Amino acid sequence: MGKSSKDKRDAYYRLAKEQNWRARSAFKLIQLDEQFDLFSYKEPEKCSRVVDLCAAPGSWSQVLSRVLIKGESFGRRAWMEKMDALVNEVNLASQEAPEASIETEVGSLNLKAQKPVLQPRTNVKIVAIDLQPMAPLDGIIQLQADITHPSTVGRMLAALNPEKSETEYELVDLVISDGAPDVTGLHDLDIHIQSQLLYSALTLAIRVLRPGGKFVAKIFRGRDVDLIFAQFKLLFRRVHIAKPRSSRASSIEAFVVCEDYTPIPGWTPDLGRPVNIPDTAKTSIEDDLENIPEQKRIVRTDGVVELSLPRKEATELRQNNRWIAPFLACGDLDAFDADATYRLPPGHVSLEPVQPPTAPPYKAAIERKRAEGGMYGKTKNKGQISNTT
Amino acid sequence: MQDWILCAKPSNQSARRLELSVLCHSLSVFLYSADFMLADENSFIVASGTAFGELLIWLCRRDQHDKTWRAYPWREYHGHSGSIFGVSISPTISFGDVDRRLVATCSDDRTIRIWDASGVEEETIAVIQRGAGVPGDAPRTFSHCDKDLTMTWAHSSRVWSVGFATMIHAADEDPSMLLLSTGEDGQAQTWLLDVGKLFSLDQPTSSALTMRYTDHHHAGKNVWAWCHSRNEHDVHFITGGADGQVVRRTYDRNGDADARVMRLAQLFKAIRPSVSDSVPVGTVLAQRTIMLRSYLVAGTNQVIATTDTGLLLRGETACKAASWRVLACSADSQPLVLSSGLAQHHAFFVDRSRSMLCVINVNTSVIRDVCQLRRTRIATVQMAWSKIAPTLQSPHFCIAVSYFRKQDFELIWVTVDAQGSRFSSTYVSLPYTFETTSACVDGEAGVLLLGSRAGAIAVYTGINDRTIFTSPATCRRRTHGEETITSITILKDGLEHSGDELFYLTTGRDGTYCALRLDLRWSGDQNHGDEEDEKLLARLSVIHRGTPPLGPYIEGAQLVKQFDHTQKLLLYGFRSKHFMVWDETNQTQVMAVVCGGAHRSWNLRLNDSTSEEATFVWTKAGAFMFYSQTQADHKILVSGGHGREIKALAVHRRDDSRWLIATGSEDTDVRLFEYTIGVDGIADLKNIAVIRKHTTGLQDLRFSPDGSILFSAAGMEELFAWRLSTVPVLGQGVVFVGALPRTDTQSDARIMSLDIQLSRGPNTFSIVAAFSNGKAKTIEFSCEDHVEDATFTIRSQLDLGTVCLTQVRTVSNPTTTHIQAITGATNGFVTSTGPLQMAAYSSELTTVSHKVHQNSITAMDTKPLTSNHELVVTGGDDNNLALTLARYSPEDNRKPAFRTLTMPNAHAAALTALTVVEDRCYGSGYKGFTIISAGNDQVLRFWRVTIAEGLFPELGQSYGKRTPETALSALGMRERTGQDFSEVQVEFVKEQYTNVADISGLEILHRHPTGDSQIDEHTQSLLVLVVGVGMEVLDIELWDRSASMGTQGAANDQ
Repeated sequence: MGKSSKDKRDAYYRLAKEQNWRARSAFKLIQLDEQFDLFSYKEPEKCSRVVDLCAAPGSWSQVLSRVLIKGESFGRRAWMEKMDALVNEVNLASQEAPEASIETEVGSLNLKAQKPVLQPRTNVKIVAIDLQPMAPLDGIIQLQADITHPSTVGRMLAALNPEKSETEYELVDLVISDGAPDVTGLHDLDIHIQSQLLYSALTLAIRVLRPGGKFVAKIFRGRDVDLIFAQFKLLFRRVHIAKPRSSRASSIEAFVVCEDYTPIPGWTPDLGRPVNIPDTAKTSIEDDLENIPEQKRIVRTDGVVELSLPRKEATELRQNNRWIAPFLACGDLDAFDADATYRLPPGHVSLEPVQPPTAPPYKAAIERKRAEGGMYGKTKNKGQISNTT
Repeated sequence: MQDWILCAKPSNQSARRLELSVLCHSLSVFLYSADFMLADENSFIVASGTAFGELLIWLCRRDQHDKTWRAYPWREYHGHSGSIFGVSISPTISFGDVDRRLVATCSDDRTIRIWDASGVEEETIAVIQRGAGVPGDAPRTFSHCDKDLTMTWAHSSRVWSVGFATMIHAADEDPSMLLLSTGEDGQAQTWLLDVGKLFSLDQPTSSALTMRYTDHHHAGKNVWAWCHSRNEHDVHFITGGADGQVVRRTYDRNGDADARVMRLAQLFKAIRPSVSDSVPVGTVLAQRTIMLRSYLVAGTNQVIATTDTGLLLRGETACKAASWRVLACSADSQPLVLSSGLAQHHAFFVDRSRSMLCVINVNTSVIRDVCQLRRTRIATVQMAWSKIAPTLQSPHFCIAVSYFRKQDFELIWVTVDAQGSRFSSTYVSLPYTFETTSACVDGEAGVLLLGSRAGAIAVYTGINDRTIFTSPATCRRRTHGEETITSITILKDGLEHSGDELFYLTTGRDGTYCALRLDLRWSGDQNHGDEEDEKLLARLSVIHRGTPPLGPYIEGAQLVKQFDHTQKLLLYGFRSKHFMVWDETNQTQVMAVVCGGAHRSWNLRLNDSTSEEATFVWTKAGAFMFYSQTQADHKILVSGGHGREIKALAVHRRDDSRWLIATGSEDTDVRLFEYTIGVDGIADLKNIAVIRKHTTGLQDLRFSPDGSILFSAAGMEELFAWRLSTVPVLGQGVVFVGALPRTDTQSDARIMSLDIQLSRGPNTFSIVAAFSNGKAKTIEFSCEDHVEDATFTIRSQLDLGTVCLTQVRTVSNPTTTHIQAITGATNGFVTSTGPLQMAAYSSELTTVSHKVHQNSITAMDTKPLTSNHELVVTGGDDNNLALTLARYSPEDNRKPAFRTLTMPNAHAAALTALTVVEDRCYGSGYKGFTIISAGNDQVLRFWRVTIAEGLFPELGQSYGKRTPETALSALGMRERTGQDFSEVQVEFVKEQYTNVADISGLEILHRHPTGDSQIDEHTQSLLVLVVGVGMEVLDIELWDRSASMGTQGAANDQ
């Protein structure tokens, strides 16, 4: 397989390099935003203080920087804005010269020349936190910190409120986390570690989110994921499981999008401790679980009939502490498909990644191997003979 | 959420009950690994590694007063630059006057480090005292330390575990500790830790850790677990891999195989001037440049050898030295030609100076002349056959003699008895340009097979010791490409086979071995034809071709009896600098010796009954080398399966109690399993073949309806076809018969899904393949029996845009004889395309798409409802299970109308596998189906679906006058109008957890006596095969909901 095979295999990998994103995951946030309006475009003041957890190599921070600070638009939103502008221009033109047909006007307009209007926001404060160092980004405050450590909350709030005293600290509108462990291949362990990371992110989010705030985090949809959903539902009015088109369908990765944070009075979890969401909050989830006595059919506008079966049909595997968050696919259907193989345009040059991986733990091992004579070590006079089957 | 238990050990051997209780909490950190060890009955030491590379050590102590356990942090070590995946605490080591305790860690950074934990018990007491007796007041911080005692570079990728095994006390040396590490690279490495060096005051110049061996006995990646055991003599390491295999490796204090090789260069000084008077010993010894030419291992320490000076020597090895004795000598100092094989303690050689064939009894060293050969310039002498006549106790042999004049070939039949020897000869006419390299006489069948230097096999029939002349019945060229055929072996398993079918095994220097079937039949119609015109026709076909992990120089094969009286196949040959013996039946290496490469004189003797006993001799750099073993250095205790997760599954039902299961994995292997239910009801799952040819992860597998052809699909547009058959001794035969030609060499597209339909003729199929670049192709496949070349013809190709197709099923429409393809894709659309046979271009195909799922369709199955209705059941990444009815109207049967009923949240995570079975028990008026779905939530769910005939009136008429409404009310269901699609009713039946994660396939193994693929009221339970990360067969009671569901046999669960 050649150098460009990953470009063919993964359209978003190629696009990320072409559009100068540090990682392909930037598209996931853009597509999540398309669906959920995470950055609240109608009321920009409602999303100006954002925390990006496990930020390295920084592609989500990059999106935050370019959307909130620079005021750029991406994806469908950018296209719609472009079209709006085009329609306005055509309207203007047709008012001036009513005899000209719209078709010729459209033909004369150069889509590419259309300059997108930047809409930078005011009072934007973005903090990116990671254990690993990260290359700097415009307007992003970077903290090298452990999200499980109690002192991180204070450092983070101080960074968000540089001129204010501790009592005046303003809380955060949005907490996002694209963090995942290095998967080991031991399935249960990977899912467990990911859920621990998710709980750490949630604990931190509860400490800094304003009521009504949003929380978006990566989740592995594996065994017992419905237990996790149920706990998120205790703290947020709306919880969805979202899958951007740029995330491969073949991967168990998805994003839990929690909106409208409702604090539980008198309860704040400690960082670095297991989260025990109090039982008193259960009522909110009970309300949401429609205990329908019999099956329910809804005819959707597209003619598809949705069938919900009564909960009494469920067995002991579905107890009250389980809840399945509604699924929402994000991103347009005509967007690139993360699973499809693309034919590269003729003369395609495979670009180098924008942000090469930060010092991996095995860097020294690779350097040593290279010094010994290539990735496969010395081919002659090796001291040990491998005994292979 | 439950936590993950990283380490558990029994604290008391007599405990029979397991109780889990939290003794104490410590820091809440991301631990990847932990180990603990009892210091005394009131305290234990805990060491753990974090995701950030810290090693934390603390002591847990039971309070003397209130008997509660508390944790006291002791030390935090830094040094690793990645997550610590494995920790091990050593027992106390007495060294000098001090008791030492060590901790070993391994990490993402590919290193193993040793840390000093001496005195953890004592120091912690001090900490407790500092806490002034106030419970829980102990300082919650660790004292930091940054220096490891020693470190070493270990595996080539992540190191998962490391541990102390046992102390090795050599006589006058410092104590050493044996360690084992396992890694992501699939290897287990044995290390020796020099404790003296660790604590020596001088700065050590090298690591105190030295590697003893590297073993690679697990498929795929990841060796996860290990333990060790020891007895007086040996230390055993037992490792378990991601492939589910358990291997026992014996630690040999004398080192590994290569350390036991004897180099016996000065042998000629040891030649004693003895034996017969006829040997001019003096002249022989005067020549200093004597070289050994060829060998024959006669016993575990006995070698017969020829020299370039015409001597025949007998060597005996003992204590790293060999003593030699001259047995014979040629008159003109020309080298003797030694036979390649040994049988019934006899070997043959030719004295070229006299053209004399001689026989030597290797036990007694008695040499006899057999006969004068009629020609000179003898090239090779081979043992082609041997037998002991039961009455005479005198062995019979058939010796194949080839000459430098290439077309000459001769068989010499020899009987050796007390008086002497008798012989007869058969002149063999060779096919054109045939240079013989191997010969095998099947005495019982009267068949001679010859292998050539160019991969051809010639067959001669009607051969016996009275045959004077024979010419080939058939010659099969290019059986091993154009490479040398190195051996031919008779495959016979003692079972009765049709007398017209004979089986042979060949090995070649093309890196493969073959099982061949020889069909013999008489030509002409026996009722009418003249007897004189009748001729025995022979046809040789390859029924199995294997590529063992040695070669390309595979030099021979031997069948060895196993304990259960079956035979196993051993193959031997060269791999780079090694000579290897490979157990093909059990897929394990028996012997590996560094010999320098393929081009040399060598000989091997394998014991017939204990397969691991082997003696190998060879020449290396002019020296005579000797190696002997009594057992292999490792043994497979539990044989494994795939090294990575299974991505594809196909099942073929052989009969009521036997199923052939094909699985394809991300490790690029296809494995065939046989699942059998014995008369006692005990099920057995056995791996019967491993197919290695794909270069990327498998995506789909499909059997032909009769189970004789298997199609496998993977990335890089790989679509392969395999012919399956039964082979004596080997069991399952698999032959690669062809690959779909790649039309676009630039394309890396994966073939995601396959479906096949019988086409014209028994060996012709229509295949529909769905590609990850949105294309679907209809391919006509045909393959004659006995041929290794199948033809793939692309009949039509359609392009569904820039999506990844994930599923494809064919729908044959009996009213029109058209085949439609129904595809599912990552955009959630179900698409019907057709008709497939007619069009050669996409433009002539009609495509109708229908959105069913929000995101990717990850599972699909179809079932015909009527002649023009198809039920399409799909599962999506959106957790939904959807039932779609495709109605192909009689007016335009290319354009179906779709109607969908979907069930949101059918699973808590993506629905990744499903299967649909037709039910039979509901009577008329509706059709019933049982759907089994499975998802990433590791749950199997069972659904019952009833579809009223109101949807397809033409069927209703045939069933009588019952209306759908009455049918539904008979079921107790509410009557509904058509708007909400109430003709389709779904009932949730039951659900069941499975141990298999990432489920990729699911099939029902029917137990119905008629073999019918329907469920009815007699169907008590279903056997459901689930594959993903591992595989499992679940026996699920269908009707009695209260009954418990038992797991029938979990195999290969990771």
